[in-house]
Amino acid sequence: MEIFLQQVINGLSIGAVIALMALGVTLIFGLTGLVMFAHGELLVIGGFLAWFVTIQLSSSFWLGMVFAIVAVGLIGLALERGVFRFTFDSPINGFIVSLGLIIVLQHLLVELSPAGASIVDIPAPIGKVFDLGGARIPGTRVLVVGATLAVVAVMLWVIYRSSHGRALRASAIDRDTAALMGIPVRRYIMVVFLVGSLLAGLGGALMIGLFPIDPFIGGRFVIKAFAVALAGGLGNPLGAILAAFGLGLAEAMGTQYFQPEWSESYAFIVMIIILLVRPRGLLTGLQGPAAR
Amino acid sequence: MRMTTSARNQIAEAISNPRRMATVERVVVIVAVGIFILLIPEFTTSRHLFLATVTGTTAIAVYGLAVIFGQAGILSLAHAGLWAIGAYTGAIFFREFGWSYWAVLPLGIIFSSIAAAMLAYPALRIRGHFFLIATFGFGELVRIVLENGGGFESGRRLGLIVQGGMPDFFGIGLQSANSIYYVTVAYLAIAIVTVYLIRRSGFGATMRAVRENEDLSESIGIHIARTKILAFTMSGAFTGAAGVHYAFLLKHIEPSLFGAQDGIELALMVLLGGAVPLLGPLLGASVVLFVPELPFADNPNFVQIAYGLALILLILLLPRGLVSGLKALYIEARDLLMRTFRSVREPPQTPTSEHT
Repeated sequence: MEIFLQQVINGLSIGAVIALMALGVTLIFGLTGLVMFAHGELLVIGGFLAWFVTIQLSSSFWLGMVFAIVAVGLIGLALERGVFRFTFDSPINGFIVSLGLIIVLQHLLVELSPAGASIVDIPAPIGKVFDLGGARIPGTRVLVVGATLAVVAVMLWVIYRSSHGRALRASAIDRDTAALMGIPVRRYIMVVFLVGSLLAGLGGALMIGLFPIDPFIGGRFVIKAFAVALAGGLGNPLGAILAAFGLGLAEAMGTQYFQPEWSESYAFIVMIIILLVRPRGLLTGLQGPAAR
Repeated sequence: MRMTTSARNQIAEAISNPRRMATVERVVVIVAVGIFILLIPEFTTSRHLFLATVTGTTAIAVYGLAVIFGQAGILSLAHAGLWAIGAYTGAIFFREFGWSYWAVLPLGIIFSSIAAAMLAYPALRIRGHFFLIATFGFGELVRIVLENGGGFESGRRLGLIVQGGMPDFFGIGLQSANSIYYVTVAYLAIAIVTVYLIRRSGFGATMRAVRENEDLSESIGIHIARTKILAFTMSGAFTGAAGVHYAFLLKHIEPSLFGAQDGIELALMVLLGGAVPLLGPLLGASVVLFVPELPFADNPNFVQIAYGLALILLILLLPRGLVSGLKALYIEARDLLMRTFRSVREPPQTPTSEHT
């Protein structure tokens, strides 16, 4: 039972990182039809920036986290301005461009990082360990899950309850009509790239609080983010978040109770099955502007 | 005197006939490239010769990808996985069951084709970037299976050793690097001719019809599912042959050679060279594999960054690939040259006759 509880928390904290990614991925897709595979690199860059500030510059994890969020947000905005806005007419080109970006960002990170290609780690940001019915629950994991839930709640409120969210959803459903109604769609696309990247930066900072990372794990997380975004229906933020926590739990349970070396493959299997059975996702999603 | 006049007339006629001109140009390019390829062992180091052999083998897999991307318009990131299936089929059957190179070659082709046909099923339901994501997942799955699965102990992360499997091709003592290179070139030639024949065939036209408009081609009686599955099967045959040859050539294969990253690299080769021009995939593979050998490229990170940037710039500026870009440049230059040549020879007194 203690082990089960511990695995639940483990699963939720991994799910939190995936959820932060999936939210950005699904929002960007919903608005532009772009499958942004380089999002995983933004996550990793966030983790490395948090590590760099925490270990090399100051000794405050919080400072590192803020720095990671802001810097990755700006990188995402720069990518939208510099590269992706030229590909919105042809999302498949945007996808290939994002594959190129993966290679560029990954190796830039290796080149610029003081640690090179090696694994980096920071001491747990919260040393305290909670005792919950015999299960030992590290404070960091509570922080990760709590922070993610708070951010996700704010995001969902903005998307589903505010007028900006309404404009965003309208643009996702029909970009041209929304533009005719006076919604500045281009600006919303920019904002979504910015917000998606801010979330990736946060995810990266939280991730390095959980476990050591190396520069090459971005691909693994982006594919999971897409798997859950697909499961939740691409362009459907709530579905993506629920699916993310589901996948995190499934992986944690699989590692504990089944064969751990296969847990990495769950996301791929789930994704391929969903694509085969319900190509537009389990919950109702959007096809994206281009697929219409 | 008479001879020269008629010769000059012939040249003038050839120049004025664009179709014949195009044929002549194509033959010249192919012969030049062929001679260059055959002469490579004469002037390279053994290290570069080996790299050229690897490039030729890789290019065969890239031609497989070019068949479905160039003709049927479907891009796949799973071809490194299919390539791996060929390579591992070759390695396992050679090591465990003692099959010869010639026996495992068709087997690798068959297995890889079957896997490719299975891969085609998702393509029937999902299109565009959704299919790309699925193939990315497939490629990673193949790598995970290779790392975890199978009862072949050494076949896990460490990889498989395929020692001394290269046969004596046709009894000509072919263990030397030169002869393996020539055999690879022969394979490559077969692959290119096959692609050419597929393109010329009715099935090539069918694939292009499906690429251009699926609904319309279905309405005139084209079986979409059968076309796509057949296209993938053919594509898998290329990767299977390339895989078996690759395993015997490298003598050591491991799962990390065939991950999703490598699938992206194959896609980069096909996009770089261009999938439609006949020499596009070969040029793409050569550029990607030989760029790290350039003198200024001593930092592998910069090489990778350059790849990524090249891919991005190509997509944004030259979406049809290098070969098409070179061709457009050449045609521009040729037309400019011919215009000046003509205007010098016959001053433009009668502007109307210039077009005849």
